[in-house]
Amino acid sequence: MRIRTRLQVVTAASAVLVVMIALLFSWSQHRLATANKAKNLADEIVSSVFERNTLRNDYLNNDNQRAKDQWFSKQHQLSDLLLTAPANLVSISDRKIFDDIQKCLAGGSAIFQQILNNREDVVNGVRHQAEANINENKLVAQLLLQFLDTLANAHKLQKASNELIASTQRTATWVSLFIIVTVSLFVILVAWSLGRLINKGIECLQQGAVAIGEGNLHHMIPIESEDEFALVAVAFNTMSGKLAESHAALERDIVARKRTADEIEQLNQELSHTVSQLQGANQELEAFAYSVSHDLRAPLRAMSGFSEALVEDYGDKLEKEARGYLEEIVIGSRHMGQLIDGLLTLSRSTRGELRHDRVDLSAMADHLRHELEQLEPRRRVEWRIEPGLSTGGDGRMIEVIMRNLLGNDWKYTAGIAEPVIRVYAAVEGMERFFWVADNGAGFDMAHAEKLFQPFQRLHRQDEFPGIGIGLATAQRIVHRHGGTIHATGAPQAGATFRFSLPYGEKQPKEEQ
Amino acid sequence: MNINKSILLVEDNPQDEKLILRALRKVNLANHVDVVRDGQQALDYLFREGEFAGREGDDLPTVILLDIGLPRVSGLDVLKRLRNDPRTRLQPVVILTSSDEERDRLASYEDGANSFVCKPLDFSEFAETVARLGIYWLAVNKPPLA
Repeated sequence: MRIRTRLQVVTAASAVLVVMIALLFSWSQHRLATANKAKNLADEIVSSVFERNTLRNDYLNNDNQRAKDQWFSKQHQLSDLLLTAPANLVSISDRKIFDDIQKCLAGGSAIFQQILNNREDVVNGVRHQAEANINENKLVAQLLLQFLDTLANAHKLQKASNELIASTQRTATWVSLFIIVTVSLFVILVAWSLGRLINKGIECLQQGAVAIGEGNLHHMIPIESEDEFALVAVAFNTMSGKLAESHAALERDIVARKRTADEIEQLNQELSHTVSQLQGANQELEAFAYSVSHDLRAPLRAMSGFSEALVEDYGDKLEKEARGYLEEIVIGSRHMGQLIDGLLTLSRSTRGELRHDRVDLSAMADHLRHELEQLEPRRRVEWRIEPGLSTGGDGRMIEVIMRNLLGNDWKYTAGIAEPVIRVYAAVEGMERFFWVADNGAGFDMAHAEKLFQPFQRLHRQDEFPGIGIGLATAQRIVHRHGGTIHATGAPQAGATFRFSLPYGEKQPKEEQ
Repeated sequence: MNINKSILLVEDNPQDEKLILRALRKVNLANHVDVVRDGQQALDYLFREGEFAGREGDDLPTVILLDIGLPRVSGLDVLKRLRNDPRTRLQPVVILTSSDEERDRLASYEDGANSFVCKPLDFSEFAETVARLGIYWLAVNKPPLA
């Protein structure tokens, strides 16, 4: 049974108690009222009988006609009273007493009529006075008997009424006591069992909560009843089940994450292994570049050196053609020397730490301009270098970029009537770019992607000499600075290069 | 020019040696040059040990032209030994090498080189550089113990 039902039962029992007590009260009130009415009736009968007796005596002794009339009037009153009385009489014994009283009164009335008739007979001369007197005395005695009977019966009625009152009071007391005790016992019993039930339910729930608190997520609360605790237990068990489920899911997730972490760890190890391999390869490359710079240069120097020494020391003994061959050896050696230098610069541009310098790009361009002008003092080129161009980054590497770009400008404007070389900065998109532009030979945009590949050239050696490694080097340096480099141009319409150096631009201004 | 002044050339490449000697000959300094071909020989020459135990002539050269990449004992090790020995602590040493690497430059100066010269690839430039070196160290520069 549910706790709510039990509580409703207790409430209902209390209500029943109240109703029963109320019924009992109204029943006893009714009984008491009836008894009181019977008692009052008896009292009234008694007093009326006494009054009628007095009136009769007054009439009989004093021949008071008024008393006679009053007797009849009282007789009528009594008759009326007795006519309405039966409604107030409940018990059979009371009815019987009442019937007896009626009979007595009727009898009395008949006797009194006989007395009156007797007296009239005397007045009318039908009877002698003496005979009438004897007759009257006999009738009066009978009347007295009737009077006493009536009194006795009235007293009986009084007594019965009193008894009814007493018995009603007794019954009401005992029945109410019985009801109170019974209902109280019932309520106590129900409350006690309810308390036990709640206690047990709470204990079960508490144990369950403690078990789950200790991590036993598979703990189930036993369901032994069908009350609210059973509902709570079912909800609790569902909750712990879900908890266990999500716990298991969480554990699976953790295992999966652990596995992922292990995989990442393994990948990291593989990565660091690869990095160390790459570092090894880089070191080998560095060693190779170093040996190139040393070991290839000496024989090259010997080749060109002795060729020139031959021309210098024995030139007059050689034929012109022989001297021409020797010059070709010198030119070839020089070109190879440039290739070696270019390779070294390219190699250097991709290794070693990037430095954090503040670079005055305008001053750098100006310095390179002087270098170029000293090499070919006869050439006239208009330089437009924007003043105050400044950036951050590795100064030596940025100089390599500028040297290559300005060197190209210088070289490819050789055949132009009014050569102009421009260096400036401008924002494009969200980024600041440095621009280096000339109005020289330019190039075909169809071959633009070849520009930045090592040893790829867009011009013949006899047009513009070169080794085709400068722009590849510049691009690598720009990439190392996190930037981009683009070229635009058209044949005979000049070339424009723009590059960004985010690595340098991000450097704090304090390093200036 | 003072006959006592001399150059010690430490050069393992015979072609470079010939080119250097030719350049010095052009400025009449070739007679003042002694040549050794590796680091160990250089140390033996300077400290009169091994094959140079009975060497005649001046105690120490006016200047040493020292290559870096040498067999047996490297140029930088020779330099360190010279700087750690009281007899050669102040000896003028010029590093003359094909290397243009910054780390070689830094190491040379840290070990106490007096000068660092990169051999130019171009012959005429090379000859001019060597000639200038010879003249500078023999004629212009004042040695510590003169």
